[in-house]
Amino acid sequence: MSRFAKPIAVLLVILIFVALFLFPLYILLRVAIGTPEETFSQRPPYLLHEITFAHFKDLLASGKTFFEPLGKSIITALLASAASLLIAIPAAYGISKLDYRLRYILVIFIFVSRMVPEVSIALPIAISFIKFGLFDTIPGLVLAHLIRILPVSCFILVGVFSNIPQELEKQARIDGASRMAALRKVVLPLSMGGIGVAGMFSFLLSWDEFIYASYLCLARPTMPLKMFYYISRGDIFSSATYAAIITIPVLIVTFALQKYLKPDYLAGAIKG
Amino acid sequence: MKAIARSLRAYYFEYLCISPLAIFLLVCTFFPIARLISFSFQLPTADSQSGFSLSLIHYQELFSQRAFRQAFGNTIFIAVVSLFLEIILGLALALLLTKNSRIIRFVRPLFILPLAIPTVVVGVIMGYFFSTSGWLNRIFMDMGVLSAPIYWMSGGLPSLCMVALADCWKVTPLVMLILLAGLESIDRTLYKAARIDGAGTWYIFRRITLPLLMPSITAAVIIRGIDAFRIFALPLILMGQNLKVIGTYAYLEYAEFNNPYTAAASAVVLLGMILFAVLVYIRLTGKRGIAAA
Repeated sequence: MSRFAKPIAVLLVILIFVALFLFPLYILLRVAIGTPEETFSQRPPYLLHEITFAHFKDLLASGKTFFEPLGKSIITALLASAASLLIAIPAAYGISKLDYRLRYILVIFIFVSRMVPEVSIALPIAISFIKFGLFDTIPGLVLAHLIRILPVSCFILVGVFSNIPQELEKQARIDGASRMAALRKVVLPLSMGGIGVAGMFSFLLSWDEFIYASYLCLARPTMPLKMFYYISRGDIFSSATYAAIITIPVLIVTFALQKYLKPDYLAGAIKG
Repeated sequence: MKAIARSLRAYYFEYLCISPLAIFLLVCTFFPIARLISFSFQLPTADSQSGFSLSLIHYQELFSQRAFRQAFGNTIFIAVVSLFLEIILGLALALLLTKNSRIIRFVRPLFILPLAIPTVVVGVIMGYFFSTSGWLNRIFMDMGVLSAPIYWMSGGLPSLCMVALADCWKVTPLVMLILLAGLESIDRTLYKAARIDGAGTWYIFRRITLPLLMPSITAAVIIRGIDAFRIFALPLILMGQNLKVIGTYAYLEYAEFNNPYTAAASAVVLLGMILFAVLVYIRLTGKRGIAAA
């Protein structure tokens, strides 16, 4: 009896934690696909009796008010992830080739930029963007999102490039390839998987970004901002539906890319 | 000089590759911060072209406001409480999972769930959870633990705890992942040797696990501590004007009250707090800490 008591207790504790992590997500789903009668009743039942997609249909029917933020979010995220790869691929390649001391200095440089509170960068940027006509535009928002994305994509890619054997590149150089050609024909094809992962995370980091967007958008909000607008108006169903739509792609990609979800990447530091 | 020239010659291609990133970080991160700091010391009457002025008037204004001093206190309170809970819970979970590797494979994806939910959405969900007729009160009252609902969103201490708990829900899995990686890197033979020498579980935990896990714990504390200071979306969505932390204070000063100077000054205060934490981190752990983190 006592032989089984301990594993069962452990399992029970783990199950409680799993429930704690799952339940809040269930609440969101409940509001998003529940009928108003059930959600607003004095004692909403624990299990949904009736599932409705009316809130999603309302959203689709609302036309521009929904599709404009959606379009802006998607275009911004696509541009931001493309730009982040364009800058981070060469940078990460360069960093992975430097000797230890130089690499350490650069890592500190990136680490510090990652630690600066967004509020402190967003304010001066918003003021300059108003001057340069970038305020409330997609290019402006892309630039701001890159501040958030670049450290993460660099950290992921440095890890990817460090794992490629040096010999392959050396061999290509001996065979007469220039550095650029060696990078293009040998290193990049071998890193496609890692680059894809970095691109996906870049997309997500822009997709659910809130702080820069709230400083830099006014008439044309992104999805998270539109959701915030509904929260402050107290429109519980619209905000829940927006929340679900924002969450679904993030959830899918995160689960698909789970094995890359190492604490290093998320914490924003790096192996030396 | 010679060393620099030599390094440039040896690594010219690498430097060329890194330069776009370096330029971007300078223009879009370090330059704005310099502007923010100079802006926070600027007199409103001085026009920005004539340049430099050094006035503490905005900081005096800031610290004379009760709302800001409260936001300052709130930030520290939330950071300390959430960090404490996250480390304790994260450590407990990591210890629990590292000993049950078969269970890990099944529940690990579920534990990662909160990480996969955008912070803004966590704000929305926690609103349903903590509101007066929300699910937390509901469940506790159904279980008979509470006889009257707790007013989590009424401001003051309950609201501070609510924001800390909401942050905790989102971040504990990350802390657990960091600590789990640390636990897995501890040499198993150490435990065996200690067992053979007759050490008990508690003794092994205190004398072997905890000291060897310390670098991971420090890393988690500082990295999470920095994030805890800049907490923004959760308090803004859950409490808005009714409970400010420094981050939301700076935002609301700018966006709602059109007061960029005090917004800048409070953003600088926040920056100072975080810089202080980073310095402490680097001081405590040195190069190893950055590498290990």
